[in-house]
Amino acid sequence: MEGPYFKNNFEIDNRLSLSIPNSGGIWKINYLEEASSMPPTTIYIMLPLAGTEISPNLRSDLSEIERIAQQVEWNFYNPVGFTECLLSTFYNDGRGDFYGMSQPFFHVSPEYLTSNPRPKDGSPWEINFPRKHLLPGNYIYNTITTWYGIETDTATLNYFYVGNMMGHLNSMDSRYLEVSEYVLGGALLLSRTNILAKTSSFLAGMLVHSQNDYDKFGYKASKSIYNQNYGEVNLWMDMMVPNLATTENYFLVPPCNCEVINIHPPLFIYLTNEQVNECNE
Amino acid sequence: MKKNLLILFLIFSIIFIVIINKGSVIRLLYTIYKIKVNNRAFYDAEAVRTQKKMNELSTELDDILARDNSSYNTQEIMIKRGSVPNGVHTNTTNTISGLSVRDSDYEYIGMPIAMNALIESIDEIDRQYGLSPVNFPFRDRLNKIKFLVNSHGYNIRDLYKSYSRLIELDKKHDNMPKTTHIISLSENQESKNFIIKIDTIFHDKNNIAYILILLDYHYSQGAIENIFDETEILVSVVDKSSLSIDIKNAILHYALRTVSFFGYSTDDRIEFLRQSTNAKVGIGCVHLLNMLEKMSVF
Repeated sequence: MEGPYFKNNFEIDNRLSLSIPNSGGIWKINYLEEASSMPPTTIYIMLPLAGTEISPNLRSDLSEIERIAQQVEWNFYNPVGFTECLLSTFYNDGRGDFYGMSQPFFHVSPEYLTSNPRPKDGSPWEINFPRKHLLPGNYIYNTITTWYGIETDTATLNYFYVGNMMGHLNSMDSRYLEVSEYVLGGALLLSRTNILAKTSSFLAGMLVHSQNDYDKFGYKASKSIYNQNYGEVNLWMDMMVPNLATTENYFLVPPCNCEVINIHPPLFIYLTNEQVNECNE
Repeated sequence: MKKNLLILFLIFSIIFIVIINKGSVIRLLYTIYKIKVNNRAFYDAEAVRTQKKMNELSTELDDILARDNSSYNTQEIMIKRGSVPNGVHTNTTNTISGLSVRDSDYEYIGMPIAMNALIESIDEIDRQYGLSPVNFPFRDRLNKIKFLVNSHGYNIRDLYKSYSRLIELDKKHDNMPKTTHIISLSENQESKNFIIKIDTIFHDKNNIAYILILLDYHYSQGAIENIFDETEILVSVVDKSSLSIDIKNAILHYALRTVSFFGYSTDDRIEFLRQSTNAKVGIGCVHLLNMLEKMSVF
């Protein structure tokens, strides 16, 4: 058995354990059955996997985005309030940004990850910690997840959501096209990272009008956005292997204070009709 | 017995519906088939990519392990692959210096160019995987307008800079009187009455402000053909005008942004637009109107 942070207890209790599984690495295991004439079996374990496949979850959210877009009554002639409304859709203050990581198991408590022995349905291999765990001191909640079989950054997906809302608003009013460009420029200026991919994500969201469009266009957008990732996100993504398992821990609101082990989309899509306009008062 | 009759009734109803709507049913089935075929090709290709990535990583690990039998982590493998400069680790300090490099790499240059880049990259993916392209019914008309702008000697990459500069200047001032009046009309009048009143204000139908308002009016009515028609006129009128190049650029950016949005609209959006109208007209060109009014162009 070869690889980083590997603790071999196999001969004692038939268990192999990785002392720091979220640090990433490739492990090679040569397994040879005693007293067997068969050659050894080689197994590679690659970690970390990206978060699980999220494309059906996004598809379901599209109807919520359309609903919220129909309720928007932001005052164009109150630029401060209007800008605040729009930019709030990018921040994790109860309105914007993805939060957490997509996983193939149902929601779990924080104790889940540290429990010993691990629960029966537990799978230590799908752990894709947010960056704060990978890079000490860099406290960011976005994760790499799988979108149409391709690795993607959840921070970039947030732009898809806002763009999609703006696309619905734009349909019949040229003022919304004006503010779409304004808010995109503003968000990119504040973000200052991975802006090519984020721009494409925003615009792809804007061009997708329906779930039917998403089916025809979404996977191509995912690939295009993947191709445009660069810098630190690209490095981070390079470490990950796509995870095609179904996401089971997708929530509207985290059921517990376990942000790193559940995922929810930008919360502005679930606001009530009144709440969506509160920012502009 | 009753249950069997009910099932028979349902089967005959479905057959009847299929016969009546055979065109749309066949189209629907064909669309589902195409999506499935497209998705299959794409997923197969992605599966190959994933497998290739795993194989590459595994081979690299083998190389490393063969060279030295000690443990290596992913960071070292990434360095070997040239993903990060040799010896540089992704700690916080380097992340910050990395950001400054990235900032200089890319500057936002406006929605028409960014949208065009996205669609071209998707075209490339379609070619790469042999996929059917997404249908944008007005894409040809958009290309015609882009060609027109280019043929008059404008560099599309310069347009947004001029636009954003002028907008920032205008935001520091209140709206001009005529522009304020037009906004007030748009807010207080139904769209049909609004455009009648605008027609009486502007005697010169080649006035740039008038064409811009007309563009916003057609926008609110989802009249896409009219949007493209007016934009073609606008490009020629702007080009012939005596306005400065900066102002011409700004107006052309506004027009190009509008037609890019509609030029890359899918069948579903266009279908939606054809069935909808806005009761009021939103005036998105307020800053341009202010600018033109300051110059006494209207």
